[in-house]
Amino acid sequence: MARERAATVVRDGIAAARAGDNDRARTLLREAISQDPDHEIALLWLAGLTVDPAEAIGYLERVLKKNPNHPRVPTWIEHQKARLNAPKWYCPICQAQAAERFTTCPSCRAALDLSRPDVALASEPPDTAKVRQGAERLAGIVRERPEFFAHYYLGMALLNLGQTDEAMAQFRAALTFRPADSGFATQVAEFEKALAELNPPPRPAPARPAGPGRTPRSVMVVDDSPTIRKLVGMTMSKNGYRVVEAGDGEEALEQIRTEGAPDLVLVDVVMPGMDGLTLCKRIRQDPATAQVPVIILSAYDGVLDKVRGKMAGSDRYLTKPFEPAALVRAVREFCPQGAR
Amino acid sequence: MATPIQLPAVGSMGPGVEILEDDDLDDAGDYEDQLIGLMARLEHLREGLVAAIATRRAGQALTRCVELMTLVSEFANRHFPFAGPEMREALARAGEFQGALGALREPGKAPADDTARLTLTRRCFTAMNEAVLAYFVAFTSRFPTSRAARGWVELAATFSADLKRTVRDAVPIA
Repeated sequence: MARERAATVVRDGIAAARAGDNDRARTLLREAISQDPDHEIALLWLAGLTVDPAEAIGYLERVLKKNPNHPRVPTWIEHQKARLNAPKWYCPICQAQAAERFTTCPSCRAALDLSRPDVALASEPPDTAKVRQGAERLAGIVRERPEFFAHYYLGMALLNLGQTDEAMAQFRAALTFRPADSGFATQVAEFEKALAELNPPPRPAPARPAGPGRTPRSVMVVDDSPTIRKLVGMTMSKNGYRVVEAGDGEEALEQIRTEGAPDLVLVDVVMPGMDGLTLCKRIRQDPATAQVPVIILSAYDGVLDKVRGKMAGSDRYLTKPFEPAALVRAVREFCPQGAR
Repeated sequence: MATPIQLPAVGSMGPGVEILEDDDLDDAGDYEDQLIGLMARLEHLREGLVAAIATRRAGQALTRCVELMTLVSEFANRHFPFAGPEMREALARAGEFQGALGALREPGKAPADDTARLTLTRRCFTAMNEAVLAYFVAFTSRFPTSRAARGWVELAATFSADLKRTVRDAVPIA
């Protein structure tokens, strides 16, 4: 009885597959083999329809177990094994292959996505030798048969090498191949604007009334490292600033809510919980803190990192390890006096 | 909770070590600034060490330890040309670190089996931690008073606690 029912479901499944409804076909065929686990036709159709090669191999091996002399199943298994081991992604810059997609290449460590500077950045600097080699290859393609992707990835390679002007020229060239792509046009425009603003004139801290009984200007240090908080605190205190500490973005926002906005915020990028870039954006979004200068202190020193900081709304980007004197100079640009 | 490092009694430094008068606080301030600069670089290396441990790169972790020790000993050489008792202690600890490192890295010396290598790596990390702590104690002895040293001691204690935790996490990657 079950076998008869299974045969009917298999017929319906095959009909669904022929009609192009693969989801329904897979559902019906799986139902059929749950009723008749050795239904060869159901297993073979499922092997052909399933997306996952490992699952397909499982169905084919079941057929082979029942029918070891099946003339074509061993070949199909080999085909599925080849699918299983085939790389699904390759880096457009260094051509390294991988089984999954990356926005930062695990081999050359180049950021590959202009639209996602928040996730595309490598935690380590790119392998400049590999990226340079990739850039030369892409430059050759651009010369011989220019098209959107060649210009785009040559732009990304140059950006990873810190050649921002050349990179922007490639992005603009890529845009000529897709004049109607308003999304990409916006990305390029935003990126260009961020690059232009990397070293803007200092945004002064909000004016405060001066007079007798002046209180020191306050600097908030947001860093998950207690050592950094303490050493920045020491440096700032010695120069007449009052220091407020926070271990992450949430704690910083909470302190701003309860104790008021500081005159300047020094923030690390990578922190558990809310990271520094998110904090920076939140500070800019709140009218009460939108004008508070924010200086990023980060171990990442790539051009893209700095652009990402700029896009989040920071005023300066200092890299670690920092010289205390340089830090004081940067803070003084925004808070010229230690007291208000 | 950070354990404060032990401050030596003022004036307990050995022969040849410059002893500052109490009114030499400006000099002490400059010295403290240099210590803060050193600490910024040490913390940067410690963060690199944490990253190496997180990605289970034992070789890179040892390299960060070497860089960290180099920074500390270069600072010591610049400011303590004559070794007092605290500095001698620090040098002895640094020697232990170098010994353990040499046994791990020198061709032909490195143990083949995992247990011996793990023991050596543990010794290396521990010796580095103790050497850094001993150097910090020596650096503290340069301050004219305990009051003048307070900021640095708190900073050094915070860093030492973090370094100790980092080293403890580093041992399983050997």
